[in-house]
Amino acid sequence: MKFLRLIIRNVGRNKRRTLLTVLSVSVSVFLLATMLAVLAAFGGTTESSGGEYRLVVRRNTTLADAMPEAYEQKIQQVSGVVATSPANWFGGVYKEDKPFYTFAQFYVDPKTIFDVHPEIQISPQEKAAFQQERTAAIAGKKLFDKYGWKLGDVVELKTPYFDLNARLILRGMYTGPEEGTLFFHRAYVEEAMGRPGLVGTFRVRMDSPDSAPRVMEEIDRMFFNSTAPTKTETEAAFAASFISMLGNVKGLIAGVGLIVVFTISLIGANTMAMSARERFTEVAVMKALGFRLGTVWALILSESVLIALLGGVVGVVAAKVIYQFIGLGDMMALFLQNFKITAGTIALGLGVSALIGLVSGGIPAWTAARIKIVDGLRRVA
Amino acid sequence: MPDTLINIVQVTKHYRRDTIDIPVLDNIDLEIAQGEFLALMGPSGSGKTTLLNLIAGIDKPNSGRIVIEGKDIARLGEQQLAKWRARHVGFIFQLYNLIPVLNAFENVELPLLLTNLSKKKRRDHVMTALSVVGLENREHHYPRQLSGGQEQRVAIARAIVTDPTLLVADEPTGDLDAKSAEEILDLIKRLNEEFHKTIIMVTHDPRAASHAHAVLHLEKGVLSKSGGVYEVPAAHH
Repeated sequence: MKFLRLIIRNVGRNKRRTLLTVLSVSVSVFLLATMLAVLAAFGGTTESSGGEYRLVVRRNTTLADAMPEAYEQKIQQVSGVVATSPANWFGGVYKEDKPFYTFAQFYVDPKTIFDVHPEIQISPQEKAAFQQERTAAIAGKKLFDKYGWKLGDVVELKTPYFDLNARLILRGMYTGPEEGTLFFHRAYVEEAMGRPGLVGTFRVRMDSPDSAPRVMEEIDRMFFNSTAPTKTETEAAFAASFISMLGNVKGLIAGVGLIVVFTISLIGANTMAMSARERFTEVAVMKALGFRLGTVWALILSESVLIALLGGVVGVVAAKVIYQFIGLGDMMALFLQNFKITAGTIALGLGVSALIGLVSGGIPAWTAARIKIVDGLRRVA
Repeated sequence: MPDTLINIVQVTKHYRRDTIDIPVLDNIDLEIAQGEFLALMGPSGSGKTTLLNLIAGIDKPNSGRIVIEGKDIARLGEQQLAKWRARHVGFIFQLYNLIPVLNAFENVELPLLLTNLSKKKRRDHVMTALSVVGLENREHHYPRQLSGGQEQRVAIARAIVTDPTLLVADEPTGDLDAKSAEEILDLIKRLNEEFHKTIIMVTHDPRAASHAHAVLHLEKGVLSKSGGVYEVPAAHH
């Protein structure tokens, strides 16, 4: 602790350089926290909402293509399937086309949706009111809180995708691990569109998570030679494909994260090398006074770790503020229901920033600490 | 006859630049007594700073022995030498070499951070050292807020704060105006006379050397008179 003052003073020695380094680390940790939150959301979808029991069936081409609703009966016949429910993405605009007003909307079968999503908690009265009225809708508590909705309120959704402005009446508020979605009747849209009988996704509930590989294979095999072949995947994998429609999203995110950390480590190493080089004489003086190589190394390395940790704190605080308090997280939650900056993400972000400090400061600190005293003093008699 | 503090025996030192061997010190034999104030003089490249560095334990000879208080410091490892320096040597540099981000108090306190002294004890020691050099009212000043002479006095306070046996000074007045230089030399002399510090000072300046008890001349790595026989300045006759 007695060296802390020296470390802090050295960190503040070149304020502009320290500030720029802190900012570069904070940006990288912010990006990393975002990526970690996305990765955690992939896993969280299955763990917190019973998603490990669920599969999602969709067209094997893109999410924009649909399947005949008749598929549902065939899917129900697959051994291990205990419930199915069709769900279509609506994508309507509520009030204004801005992130704050953007939330997930699905038109669903008002009866079977609760069979495949037992984690949706709603009172029997509100559930019945929703199921009985064709223009009824239910929404998660988070949406009620965010927009100040009350039961009986009318929610108007304009969709840019087809000629329909949905006018829905809120009849229920649900709670559960995910509270950011509005559900309304599939029949409402089907009637307005002239009953095309098309389904974007089938949600499938299985008897056991162990059945997943077999059920997925059987469903896809069943429609392999049809005009609309399917792709069945776990709910977590669906979330991943939904957000990016890329193959290995986790791998991509982890790869980008590593590249960011590596790049920032190089920048940090360059900064620390410059900082250490400028102080060779001071290091030599300290060693002459009796500071040992290990002590000098630890002091310079501590500066690097402190700067990186400062950047880490700024980065995770920025992520928390931007995603949680400003509301950008709601936009992310459209695709990843459990997207949030958790305590674990914060801890990992800070851990990575400390690692950046250690990696970037290690060699420059060692180089400086090893300098010969007589060389550092640069004196020739 | 005072006790011998430093006994240098057959010390040679040479540097290697690429493939060329550059001799700096050649078979130096020297005895320095406890409480001595010795000035090392000689032209540039004569090896006086190298000899000072060897005595201070910040460089090592290629051969020979440097026995200080009975211990051959030429045989100590890096870590042992660091510990020895912290306990026995105080450094005074030409360019003061204060840490610019620390104030006067913190600069003087720096060597004490390596000890187990409590914060209060460290403060007492620092304030004592600052009062010896007459800067007890400048403890919060940073080096940039001090004159050259004041900076050198802070550096001297840093050198004496651990109460070392030996003070080594490399051109301590080389960067100062005449008045400040005289004040610094008076201070160094006082440390020798009042506090009985053994002082070895490298200087080009005969006036600075005149404050010493004895002057030793080095020429091309060889003592002008072998066996540590000094030329005594006129002022001391």
